[in-house]
Order: sequence, then C-alpha cells, then structure tokens
Amino acid sequence: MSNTILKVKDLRTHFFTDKGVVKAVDGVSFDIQAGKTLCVVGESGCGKSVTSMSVMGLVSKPGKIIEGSSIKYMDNELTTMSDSEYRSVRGNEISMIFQEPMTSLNPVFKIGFQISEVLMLHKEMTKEEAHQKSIDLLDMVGLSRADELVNEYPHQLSGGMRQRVMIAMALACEPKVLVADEPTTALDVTIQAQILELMNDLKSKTNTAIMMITHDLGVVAEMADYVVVMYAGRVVEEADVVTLYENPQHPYTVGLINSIPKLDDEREVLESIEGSVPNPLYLPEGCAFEPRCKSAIPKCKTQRPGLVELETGHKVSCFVIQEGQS
Amino acid sequence: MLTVNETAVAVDVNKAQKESIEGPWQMAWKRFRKNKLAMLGGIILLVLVFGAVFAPVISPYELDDMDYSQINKAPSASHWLGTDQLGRDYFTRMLHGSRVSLQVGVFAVLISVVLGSLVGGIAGYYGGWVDNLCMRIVEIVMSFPFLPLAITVSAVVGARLPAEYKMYITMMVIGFLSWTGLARMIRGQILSLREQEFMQAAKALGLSDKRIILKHLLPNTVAYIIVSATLGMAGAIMTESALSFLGLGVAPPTPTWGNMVQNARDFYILTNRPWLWVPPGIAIFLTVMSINLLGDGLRDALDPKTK
Amino acid sequence: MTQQPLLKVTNLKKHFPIKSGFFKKTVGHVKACDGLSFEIMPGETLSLVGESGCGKSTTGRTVLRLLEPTDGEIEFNGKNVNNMNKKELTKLRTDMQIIFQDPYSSLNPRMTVGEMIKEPLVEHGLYKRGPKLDERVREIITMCGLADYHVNRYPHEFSGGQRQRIGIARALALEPSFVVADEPVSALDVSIQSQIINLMNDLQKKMGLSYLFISHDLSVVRHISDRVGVMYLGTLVELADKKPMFDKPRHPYTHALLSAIPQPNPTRKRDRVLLSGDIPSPSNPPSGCKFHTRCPSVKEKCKTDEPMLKDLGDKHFVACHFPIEG
Repeated sequence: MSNTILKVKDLRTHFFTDKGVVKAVDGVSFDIQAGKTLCVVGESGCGKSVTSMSVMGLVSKPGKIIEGSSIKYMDNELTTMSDSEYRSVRGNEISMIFQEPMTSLNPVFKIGFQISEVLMLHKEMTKEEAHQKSIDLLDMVGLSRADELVNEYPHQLSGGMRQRVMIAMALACEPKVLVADEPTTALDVTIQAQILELMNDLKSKTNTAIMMITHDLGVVAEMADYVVVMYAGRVVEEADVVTLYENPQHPYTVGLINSIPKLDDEREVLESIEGSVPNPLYLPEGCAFEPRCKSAIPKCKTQRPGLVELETGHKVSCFVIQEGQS
Repeated sequence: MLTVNETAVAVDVNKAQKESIEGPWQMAWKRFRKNKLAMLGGIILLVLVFGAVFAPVISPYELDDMDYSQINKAPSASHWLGTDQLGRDYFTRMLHGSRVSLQVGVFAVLISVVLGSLVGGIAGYYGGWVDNLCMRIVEIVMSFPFLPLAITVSAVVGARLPAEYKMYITMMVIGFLSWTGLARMIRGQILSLREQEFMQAAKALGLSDKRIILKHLLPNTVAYIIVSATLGMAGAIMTESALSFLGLGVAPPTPTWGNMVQNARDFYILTNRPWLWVPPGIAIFLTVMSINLLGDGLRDALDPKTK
Repeated sequence: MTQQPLLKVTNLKKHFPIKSGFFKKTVGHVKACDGLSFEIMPGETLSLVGESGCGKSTTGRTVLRLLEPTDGEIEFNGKNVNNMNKKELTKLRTDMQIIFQDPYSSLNPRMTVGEMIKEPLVEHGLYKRGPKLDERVREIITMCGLADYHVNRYPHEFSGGQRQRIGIARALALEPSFVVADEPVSALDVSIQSQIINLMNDLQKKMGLSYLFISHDLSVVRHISDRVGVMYLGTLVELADKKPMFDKPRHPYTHALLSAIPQPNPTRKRDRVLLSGDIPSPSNPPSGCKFHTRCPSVKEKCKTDEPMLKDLGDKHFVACHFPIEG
C-alpha cells in the first residue's frame, strides 16, 4: 500500500546475557499505514515491548538489533542512523507513550516545562511560543484548567491526567507515528475508557498512525484497524481486526480469544491453553508454539513456519493451516 | 482444534533443560564466583588470616626477642623486614600485629552486629513506641563525637588497667559506638519485608510470632547482616589503626599495624628507615581493600533483587 | 429453610488515620471501608468489584482481621470474630484463608514449596513430620495442578501462574471453608488466568469452599461469582445475583462500569457511558452520594443525602436515590 509510512522487515533484536542469547524479537515484519492503528498483541515475554523499543531505537546493551533487520521510516533506514540523526526523529516524527503514568513524567519539573522542552528542541520555538502551545495541547487532550496545569507538578495529578499529559507531550511535534506501549494497562477501567476515546478522537483529528502494544484483546477490538499477534518473539498471525476476531486461524490466536472471559458469554468453564510460554533462552527449533499446540504435526517440531498470506491482508505462520489450505 | 480443559496441569515444558535444584544460597555462590575482583579480595584476605592465625608458627623469631647487635637494620636475608630500634625482627612483629588488628576487627564487628541486629530488629518488628524509643537511643549514640569519646574512655579506663587489656578496651569502644548504622539498616530492611505479601500470608496462616520472626523474617535479613558485618570489619580495622597510631588504642609492646605506623612520626625514621612504616601501611591498605572487595562481591551475589 | 450464612458482615468500617505535623496529630482519615454489610452462604462465591480506592482489598483483609476493623461486626459460622482473643483467632485461621494478588511477593523466596505447605499443617498440630505429612503435601499440590517433584523447588524457579497455584495450595492446606481471593488472577497473563479460574471453580466444587472474590475485572467476576457487590469509595453501591446485575444493572456507576469494559468484539456497537472526571480521593470523599460528582443522572438530592442500600426486590440491593428502571 502506498500509504505505508513505517515498514519493519525481518526485525531481530537479541540480548546477549551471561546465561545465553535471548532472542526477544526473532524475525518480525509489519507495515504501519498513515492514520491507521496497528495493535501488536501478545502475552508477557512475546517480545512486543522490545519491538516498540527497537522501532524507537531505545534498545541498549546487552540488547542489539541484528544485521539484516530493517526499520524504514518514510524511506529512511533507521537501524543505520547515527545517534544524533535518530534523536531528531524521536519525539519529532515518531513519539512514544509509556505504560506507567506514575513514573514516566519527571517529578521535579513542571508540566508546562516538560512539554515546552520538546517543542523548543524539535520545533525551535521560543519559550513564550512553546508555553502557549503547551496550554493549547493540554486543552486538546481534554484537560480543563490547562493554563493552571502548566504550572503544576506531576505529583499533583492523577494517573489518568498524567497519561493525558503524556499524550500531549507525544503529540506536541505532530509526529506521523505514535507508539503506545500498554498506555492504559495501569489505569482504572472507567479512566481507560476515557483515554481510549481520546486517542481515537485525536487520531482522526491529526491523522497520526498509532502502533499500540497491548495484551488486552478487548482494547484491541476497540482500537485496532489491523492486528499483529506475537508469540515468543515471532509473528504468528496478522489480519485486519474484524477478520481476526471472526476468523482466527492460528491455534494460539484461537486459544487466546477463547480463553478470555467475556461479559456476554454463558460458559461455565473457560478454555485454556495448556502449559506456559517457553523460556526465551531455550526456544524450540521448530514452531515456538508446538509444545502447547493440540493440532501439531511432526513437521512443526523441526521446521519453523513462515508467514504465509491466506487471503488479502490475512497472514498466518502455521504449517497445519497452510497445508490445510492447499 | 482445542478442546475444553477442566483443570490444565502446568506442564513444565522446559523440564528437559532444567538444571539441578538451586536454592538461593547456591545461586548466590555461583554469582559470587563469577566476580573476579571479589574472589581476589577473598583470597588476599584468606592469606592474611592464615598469616595471623599461624603467626607464632611462621615467624622466624620470637616476638620479644631483642638482639642488640641488630638494631635498626634494613631488610636482609636474615631479617626480611629489617629490625626496629630494639632489635626485634620486624616481620615477626608484622605477623603478630596482624593478629591484633584482625582480632579487634572481628570482635568489634561482632559486638556491633549483635547490638545492631537486636535493636534494629525489635524496632522494625514491633513498631509504634518501641520503634520510637529505639530510634531515639540510636540517634543519641550516633551523636556522640567518636574520637573524643574514644580518647576519653581509653584514657580513663586504660589508666586503671594493665597495658595488655588495652586491646579489649579498644574492641569494646569501637563495637559499642558503631552499631547504629547497622541498626538503622536492619530496621529499614524489616520494615520493607513486613510489607511483602508473604509476611502477611504467614500471619494469615496463623503462625506464631516466634515462627514468623525466625523462619520468615530472619533468613531474609541474614544476607544484609553478612554484607554489613564484612564491610564493618574494614571500618573497625581502620579505626583501630587510627586509635593505635594516636597512642589511644593498643599500646606497645603489643604490636598492631596502627602503632607500628606510629614510627613514621619521627622525621628521621620517615626518611631513612622506610621499612618501619611502609609495610604496616601497605598491610592496612591491603586488608581494608580486600575486605571491601569481598563485601561488595557478597552484596552483589546475595542481593535478592536479581531474580 | 433458611440457611445460616457462613459469613455475616454488618456495617464494617476501616479507617486509616492520616498523621501530620511534629506531634503526629491525626488530621483526617482515609475511609477505605465505610459501612459495608453483606452475607456469604456456604459454598457461595461473592465478588467485590470496583476501581482503585474503592476499598475492596481492605475489606478482604479486615474480614480476616489481618487489619483490625474500626467499627462494625464480623460473624463467622455464628461466632463473633471481632472479640476473639489470640488463641481463638489462631484456631479461626484454619477455617478462613486468603490468596494474594502478587505471585512474586506472596511466597517466601527462601522456602521450598514443600516447606511452605507443611508449615501450617505442622504449626496447627494437624500433622506430625513424617511420611503421612509428605503424602498429604503431595496430595495438595497435585490437586492444584503442580507435579510431585515440585516439592523441593524454590519459588524463583516457577512462572507466575505456577506460583499462584502454590499460593492456592498453601491457602487450602488447612482445608478452610472460606477463602478470600484478593485479585488472584490480575497479575497473570490472559491464557494463564483462565487456567487459574478453572482451577478455583474446580476446587470450590471439590472442597465445598466459599469465596470472597475481589477483582477489578468484571469479565472474570462473571465467570466465578454467584453474587456480585460493586464498591465505590468504601461503600457498596449495588449488590445482587450475577445475572440480574450484568443484564440489568440498576446503579448508574455499575452501568457505566459495565459499558466501559472493552469487549473483544470489534463490531459491537459502542453505547458506552463515559464518566467525566477522576475518582475522588478516599480521604476526602464527596458529600451526600459519593458518586454524585461523576454521575450522569445527578440531581440536587444526591449532593446532600447519602443513599442507603435498599432491596429493590429479589435481593437486588441498590444505594441510589434514582436507580435505573428495572
């Protein structure tokens, strides 16, 4: 699609620890379209956070993005950029909001200052211009008394308000991509609803693409245009949101969707996926999900399935499905 | 596809790759071994302790052997570290000096660990007015200026007792004045442990207070006590050296590195007979450094934050 | 025949004093739990749900007297719990137990699984150390889905889900009739949550347990509860059987809460009620009805008069002056 602004191809991020190599992200590819929301969903240890950190260039020792990985932003290769080049991209073209609103704002600086800092750095505004723009931004994210808030400190705000401030900071420079790492996980349900609504609102106003990391399949259904499901550092399924929920193909996706309790279902016993996520130091040779998969065939143990397109936009990484098709 | 499970058994997928059962102590030992500097510190310390323990056996001469023909001789084949102004073999004095210094270090720390753990433990566990009282006592003791107090006690008590007892006085002075830091640390440790859910679980299970303290609280504080004690020893040895250097700790003829360094006060000896003050200085430095390396290594190895 | 309730709580209050100033004067109270009344029948599961600050965790612990109640009465099996002395309380512990939220801090890192389970059995004099005790321990842990050889392992060798099983095994070792489950699955991955919920349901049937299930996740609550109580700032705003509660909530807060939960269904029409503002602090709750500052249908009376919990029929209790029509 010609609207692709961020293209990740074959991303590999490995951590070289004393205990061995942890292949946190092991061959992940996806595209982000302008103005659309991509949700990367998976459970803990699947590598989704590391993926977002890799895109932002925030992976530090002992982690390393391996040769052969490509992250292209508007035709510029990010993995080969120097530190200073990357810094001009970060916060400016691609910005990020984090999970923990309690610790992601600097406690010793006023809110206004933290937002102005970004503006003065990337947009070269003067202090007065930045100050005024900060007030406008706080207004845009739905905070009342924006002109008073600019002079307050983070500890005076609640979790939901801090998250709004983070969003304001992230959108200050009108980035084309917003990376959101579990932005509402630490918030209460009613506050989460407010924030998700805000994000959707802003997305349509500013046409920013959103890459959202989450483990909550409910949030995915609300926010995503298309979804990437990760397991043990690899992509197992990729589809637009409606297709994913109506016609999930990969056994892991199916298991995941069936195991979440829903408000309107009458089941007594929940389905669950036997076993647990593999130790990232000892990933299986073949398909990472094989040890827990009910439909595994001998091939799955020894060979790693690749991502194959079943129908337009719907890709699955599973031998059983792929062989079932043919 | 997937069938409905009633109760999924937690299949241990990685059983094949599992190592043998590792308790927290084994894991700590493994971590410690990897730290080369800490191991070095440990080895140096071991050598020093060996020298101190076997001093009477290893020393080539008797401690009080005075050979008037060999006064103030530089190091030679027969006297490895030369002799002092009374003809005594310096190497022998160094070895015996290590005994005193290390002994004072160990016992002073023992006193302060016992006192510190007790006070800190009680304060942390019971809280309320007990905590308040204990901490105020700690603050009072902490506010005593150490040196003047040490000098006073040493002078007053030392005047009434024969010189040999000076070593014990020094031990007690250091021990009774330096337990406060440990007390505060242990108290902090216990306060944070109390908030851990497993402590609440122990209470919910109806376990007795005694059981909770002994089986749940103490094992989780032992690591910190060990580290504190180790590092405390370095401090105690330095303090003893300083006191003895000032003439307020252990007095001659009992050798300790501190009072052997005293020789450097004489300008002539300082410039012309370096073998009299350089070796004890280096010895103090080596001991303190190795203890610190060991202590740091222990702290890194025992820190349960590394899951 | 009216059965005796297993647990009866009347007007339970737990206030935490806020101390300030040099002399640590009490300047106010955090009214975590402010007048709660409910009953649990043998074999029943009552869930307490609510967002942060509502006091549900505090209630759970106060019922067990892990925290001393400020006011109110707790009756277990007809006996008054408030006045029990230390000896009686210790005996009570064999009948009332608790499962904690955080699988990482609720297990003593320096004890093996076997020791953890043996401890309460030996301390209460139920077993003497020996082969019979070992056999019993094995029985308990296999019932909770762990393996025989796990007895000699330390907590750090287990995953979050497995640790939670250990926590459950420990709580059930004494064969209590009542268990407080304080957010037992909130810290676990989605696919593991369903395993644990199934396990808890299973054990309840096998051992005839009653649960006080505390959670912020309404979808999970729906699967395990018989009755549900919704809390807001220390009081119950609605208490009813599961089905009527979820199908036709009568309190505006419950309604908003249910509609705020993101559902894994991308085509569902989102008719959500968005609450404005943040959750007030429990140390400074609003006057009258505590929910009036955020209620979409607030009226004058709500600002001054605090509504009491009233039975609207069929044991469906609501604390609201203008409940939603049934």
